[in-house]
Formats: sequence, structure tokens, C-alpha cells
Amino acid sequence: MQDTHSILIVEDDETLRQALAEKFTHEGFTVWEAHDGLEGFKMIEEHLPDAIILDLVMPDGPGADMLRRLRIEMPSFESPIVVLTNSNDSDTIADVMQHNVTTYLIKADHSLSDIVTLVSKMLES
Amino acid sequence: MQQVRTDEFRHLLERSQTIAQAIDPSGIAYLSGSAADTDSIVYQELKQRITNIRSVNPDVRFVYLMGQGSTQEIFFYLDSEPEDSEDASPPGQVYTEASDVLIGTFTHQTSSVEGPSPDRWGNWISAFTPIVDRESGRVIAVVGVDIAAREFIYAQYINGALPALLTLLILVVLIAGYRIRRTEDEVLDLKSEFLSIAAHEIRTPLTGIRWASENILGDHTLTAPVRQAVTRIEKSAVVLIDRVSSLLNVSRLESGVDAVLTRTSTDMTGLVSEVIRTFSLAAQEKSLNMVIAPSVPSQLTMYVDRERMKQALHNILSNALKYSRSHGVVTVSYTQEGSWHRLHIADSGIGIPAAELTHVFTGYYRAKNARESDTYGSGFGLHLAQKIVEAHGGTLTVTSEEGVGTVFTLSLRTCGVVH
Repeated sequence: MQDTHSILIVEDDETLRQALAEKFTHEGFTVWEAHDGLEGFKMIEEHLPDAIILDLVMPDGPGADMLRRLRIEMPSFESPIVVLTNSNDSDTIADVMQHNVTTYLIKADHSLSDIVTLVSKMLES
Repeated sequence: MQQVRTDEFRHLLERSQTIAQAIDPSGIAYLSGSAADTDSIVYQELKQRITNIRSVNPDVRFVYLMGQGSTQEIFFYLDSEPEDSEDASPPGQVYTEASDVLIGTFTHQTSSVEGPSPDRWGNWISAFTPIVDRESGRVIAVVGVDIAAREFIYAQYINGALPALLTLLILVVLIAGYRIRRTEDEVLDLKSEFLSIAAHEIRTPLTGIRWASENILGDHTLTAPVRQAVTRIEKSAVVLIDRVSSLLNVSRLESGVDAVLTRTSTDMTGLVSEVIRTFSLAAQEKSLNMVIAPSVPSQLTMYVDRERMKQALHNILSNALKYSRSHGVVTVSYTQEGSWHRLHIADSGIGIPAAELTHVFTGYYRAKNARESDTYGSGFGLHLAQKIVEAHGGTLTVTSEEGVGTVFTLSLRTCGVVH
């Protein structure tokens, strides 16, 4: 196991992305940031992060599209993926959960500490 | 002559033929086709017969007998009108409007029908049948039957157009019904989409405030007043998020978006334990005990929408926790009455004034003492909980004593129990 874990944050909302990045950096993670699914996919190929935080609703299409591509083009990539959303549309959530996602969270219901704790636990197991 | 409406024409033609058969051709030989006829018994008998025929065929306006003169002119022998009627044609009156069809009836010895064709009395559909002298084989008269063209058109509507109209009407009703259903579905889709977008668009910036505040609080060099202020900002963001989420959940349920329950066999006892566990930290902070009483069966399987029921229990228990005093106890107990299974959630809290007890489920409402207490709340939680329980065919009721505590009773019927 590495001493430092890396995490990719795919999130179009700058405020939220920066808040997450700041928190994870503060907690000792190596952090990469992507503002949409396309950039996110490139960064996965390039950095093979230990974990991914993926926003569900982004301007270049739902996070589910990026996941679909990821599962087809990089079937061996097995890092945990946490889907974050503020949408409560069960169809959209059900759609993304098909792609072997570790878990999903409603952003607003969780503190940054909650999310860090969750990701750390996933990386330990 | 219009060649449409064949059935109607044929029907009228047959009537003129029937009438012709009722007239004895030999009698007509006694008629002269002049005013003098009115005194003859033959004329009077025929006039009587034709008048009777007309009176038993109320849709027929005129029945008449016509002859052809030496100059081929068509004249009246007699008609079905009373003699004092303005529309009566006296014997010998020449019918100047005679059509080729009528004249042809005399020539060709065949029945015919025509119309709508106008004359001085109106606009008619007319059927003509020749009366042939048996000995000479000549046409000695023609029976005419007129029905008003307007009535004929109405009859057309009734006999032909009406079924078509009814079919059209049924189609219109079906299409309208389909469209209304479709519109309702579309409205529901729109509501769902709106609520989904609202949830995302409102909660995202609130999340930004919440998380940014949390990051600021991670800075250990903050002065006490700044830390206090940012803590308040973070707390308010959390409250606002909670209210918006509750409001959206209620809207989803009330708008019908979430009206359909996804029921599975669910262990209610397990669900209560699960919800209580999520409150363990908050309970600890208040030095408060949350207890499942021995009366609750170790397993209580009900056929419910697990996520919704969890939400209902969460809201009820959250309310109990919120309004309990420090070092108090929240107890979940169980009773059974016939087919009803009841979970009682009792707190040792501030209680709800009797006068305000009826309002706790109405939404947007917080009791006066709750508003004055140092707690956050929107009043939506219990409203939503009740909606969820009622959607399952159950009830959520409340009893309370101010200063002693409140008991919420969640009742579900056996029909939802799977043993």
C-alpha cells in the first residue's frame, strides 16, 4: 500500500471542487481535479488514481456517460468510485449505479469529514 | 336528380308503389280532371283514401294523383289536402313545374324518384308510381308522394350521418381522454423534472457554503469570534439544506411523483435499530438514551417501502431526539390490537400544548414552545412521516403532555405483515 493515496475529483462546480480538493489535500491525499467527464477520463488514463469522486450532473453529460466509457475502455480499472450528487432523481441514480460504483452520496447531506472518512475506509478495505 | 342516399330514395319509391296498389285503376276512368269531379263518389272515396294514407305517414307532406292531358300537360286529379287548405290543388289544376322524371313516369310506365326539387309549394323529394289501366296497358294516372327535402336531410342525418357522428363523438371522447391522461403524465413528468432540478440547483450552492465553512473551521489559527461566526454559517447552511430537502420530499410525495411505493418484506425492528444507530452520536451529545423496549418483537416483518418507511421513522425519531431534554430517554415500544401493529415512540421532551396537538402534522408548523426552544426544525418532518405512513394504509397519531413528553404511534395493518 502506498503512503499517500491519490484521488481524482470530477466536479463541474468550482466551489465544491475546490472545497473537496482543499479538504483531501489537507488530509494528505494527492489530488487531481477535473471539471468535466472528458477531462476526468483523460486524468484516469494518465494518473490511475486510487479513488474517484464523480459528480453525477455535469454540463458535458451525466457522470454515467464517463463511467460507461471507463468500464468499456479500461475494464481492469478497479479503484473505488464515489458518486456525489444533489439530484434526488432515482432514475439517474439507478442508471449510474449499474456501472459498478462503490457508493453514492447526496452531497448536501454530508460534511467533508464524512466524505474523507468514507473514502479512507474504502481504501483500507 | 341526386343519385345519392339510395336507400332513402328506394324506401320512398316503395311507399309510392304501395299507395298505387291501393288504388283501383278502373275508378280513375270515372274522373274527368275538372272541378266537376268533386261531386262524384269515386273522387270523394279516393280523396278520403289518399288523405288517410297521408295522415298515417306523418313524414309525408303530400300524396296526390295526377293525370296527363291531351297536350301532354300534367294536372291534378286530387291530393291529400283538405279542400279548404291553401295548399290544396283542385281537380284539373295544371302542374306547370312537372319535371322530366314525372313526365317520364307516364311515358315509361316505371316508378321513379327525384329531388330535392322545388315547386311553388316548397322543396321536395318526390316518388312517382304509374297506375296502369289493365285493359289498355296505358298509364292513366301517377301517384306522387312528397316529403320535404329538409326533413329528408334530417332523416339522412338520423339514418346515415348520426351513426357516423356518434362514432366521431366516441373517437373525440377517446382521443380527449387519451390526451388528458397523456397531459397528466406529462405534467407529472414536468413536476418530477422540476423537483429534481430544484433539488440540484438549490442544494449545490448550499453545499458550497457548508463545505467552505468546514474548510475554514479546519484552520486552527482562527480567532474565537471568527470561529463562532463561521460555525453559525455552517450550522445555518445545514439547517437550510435540511429544510429544502424536506420541502422537496414533501413536494415529491404530494405532487404524486413519488406516489408509487416499492414494497418489500422489511423487518421493522431492524429498521428501527438502523435508524437509532444513525442518531447514536447526536444522542451521545445530549446524554440521551434511545431504547427499544422488550415489547418490540425481535423481528417484525412488514410489507413496506423500506426507504420511505426508514425516512418516516427517521423523522419521528429525529423529532423525539430534538425535543427531549438532556439525560432523557426515547423509548420505542410495541402493541398489537387485532390486525394493527403499533410502534410507540415516546420521548421525555418538552411536550406539545394540547391546543396545538392537531397542527403537528400539517407541515410548515412548529408548536410555540418548540419555536421558543433552542432547536432547529421546519415542521415538515412529521408531515412527511405521516404522508408516508398513510400511503401504506397506516396511521401516525400523537398524544402529548406538556412538560412530560410526547408519544407518536405508528400503526400498520396485518395485511402488510409477512410471517
